Amino acid sequence: MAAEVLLNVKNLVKHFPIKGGIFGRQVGAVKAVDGVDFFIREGETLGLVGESGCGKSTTGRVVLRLLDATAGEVWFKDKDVMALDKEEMRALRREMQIIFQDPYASLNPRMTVGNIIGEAMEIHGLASGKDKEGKVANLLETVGLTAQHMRRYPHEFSGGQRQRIGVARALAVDPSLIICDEPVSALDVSIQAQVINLMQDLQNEFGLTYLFIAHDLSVVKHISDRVAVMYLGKIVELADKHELYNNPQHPYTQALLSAIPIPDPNVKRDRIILEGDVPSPVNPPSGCHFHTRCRYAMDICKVEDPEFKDLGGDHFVACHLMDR
Amino acid sequence: MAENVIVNSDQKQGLTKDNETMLQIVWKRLRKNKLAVISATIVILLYLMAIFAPMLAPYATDDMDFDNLFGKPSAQHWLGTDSMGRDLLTLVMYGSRVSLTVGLVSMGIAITLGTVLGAISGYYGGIVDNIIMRFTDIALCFPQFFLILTIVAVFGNGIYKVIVILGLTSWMGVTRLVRGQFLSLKEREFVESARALGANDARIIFKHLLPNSMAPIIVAATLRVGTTILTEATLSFLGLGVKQGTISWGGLLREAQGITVMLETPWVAIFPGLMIFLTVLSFNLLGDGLRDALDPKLKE
Repeated sequence: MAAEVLLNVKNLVKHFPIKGGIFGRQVGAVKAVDGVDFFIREGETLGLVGESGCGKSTTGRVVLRLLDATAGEVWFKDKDVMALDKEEMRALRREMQIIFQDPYASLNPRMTVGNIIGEAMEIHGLASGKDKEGKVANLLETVGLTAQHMRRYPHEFSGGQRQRIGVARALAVDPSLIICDEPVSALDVSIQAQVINLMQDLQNEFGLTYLFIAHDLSVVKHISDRVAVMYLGKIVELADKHELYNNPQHPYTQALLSAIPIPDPNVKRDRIILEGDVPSPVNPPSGCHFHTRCRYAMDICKVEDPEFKDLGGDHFVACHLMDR
Repeated sequence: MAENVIVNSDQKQGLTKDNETMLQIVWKRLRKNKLAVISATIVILLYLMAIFAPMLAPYATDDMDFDNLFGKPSAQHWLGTDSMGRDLLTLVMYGSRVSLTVGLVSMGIAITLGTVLGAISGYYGGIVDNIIMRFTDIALCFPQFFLILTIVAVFGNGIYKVIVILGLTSWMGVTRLVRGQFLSLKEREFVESARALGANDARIIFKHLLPNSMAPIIVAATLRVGTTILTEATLSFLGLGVKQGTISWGGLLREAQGITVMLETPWVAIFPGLMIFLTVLSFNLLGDGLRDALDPKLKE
């Protein structure tokens, strides 16, 4: 496990301003990502889980600079991603790619599959003409489609096939990091398994590194090496997947894991039911964001933001319970 | 192994459809709409008539039959003759050249201007968007017709001036349309993915946003032609459109004014009027048909 750190994210913050009043003054901010730290080693898969609206996808987009960060640092290999100028960023995009959630919205309906996949090569001047066509055909076969599909339009494909096209497009520039933004959430369960297996095969074949964003804990457990749990713009726990699933420390992680269905009707389990809703990210609770729903909440939790601490063995938790 | 089997059956679903380009699909859908096909045929025939008027017209425009002023429709003059004994069929044929040219070219000006402004406004947003949209709002505040009357009064009339004036006073709707399209399209994931691949603004605009905005632009363009032809005819009827002496449908109607003409020799007014009616109706029906055929949400 001595692999190099490929991506290092430090205290990443993304606030979306809320404008109001006659003069469009900023009256508040949606704190989508509110201080996130993590790193990914080369060749590993980091799973990022959390409820809807907790800032998972925003984190992925800010890392790729599809959205501008409010604060924080992102280091890719030895490059400070936030400090790159337009041209340097364009060059770096070859190394970092993204696979989107919705296979229907993520492919241009007016372009053939060949053009969609070939576009990336064109942009970076990797191939053109016959050479490009050959490479696109190869990629299509790599993801389980055939070369004939090149001249077809996205609407002619099923959801699973479209997601394969999305994967092929991401692979076209030969990246080292792929951010997978809920790549299987929109697919049928049977198709999910195919796409997940495909992604694992590709990881082994090309030595890819994944940031795998999802809300399905079973899928994340299957594909990830390490898992980060996010709640209201912050990572509350990050650990090796076996450690996290067997020995969750944060009350939120415990509640989440207790909600995974067990495919055996005879097994009794203790579900931890979280009361109430996720508070609004416009006005997150003071101190620990989770204290409003935490069954162990103490006085300190309402006042002080818990530190994101290493418990040893790469197990990070942000919770005041750990100090006792 | 099991996985491969599933993938293969998945692929077969895709293979049942023929390879079709977008254009073929649109054409297939348009063909089912009888009204639109008839309209398209009429529009094509009208343009052929305009282009080949010198060959098709039975007489020359300055041939006058002095023995047959206000002649009734007959074997010699199918649509009759006008006050100077000119053959009305010939005049209607030549007159179509003005209407159809004005319609097409000023539509071109309006669409180009509207698309460029709308695209810039929608894509870049912010202060640029604000300036362009407020300018558009101001332009929309002027009643188009009176603006045209004023401009003609200042700069004089003539076919080229009319084309430019009509083009410059009708881009606002298109600007708003294209801006709206760009605003919603640029948030779509395929645009985000192009950005993630490192595509520059020009590529995103011309390869991703514009092709996906073409459908409503084409519909607007088609409907625009009809409206423009109507405005030109109105202007020419008032004597403010093409110069006196240039044959146009509106001009023919102008000559057919007067209660005696209407009652005693109605064909002089009816045929040019009918042509305007037919042309505008065809363009509108074709536009409606295209709107349906180009709608990507519509499945067979």
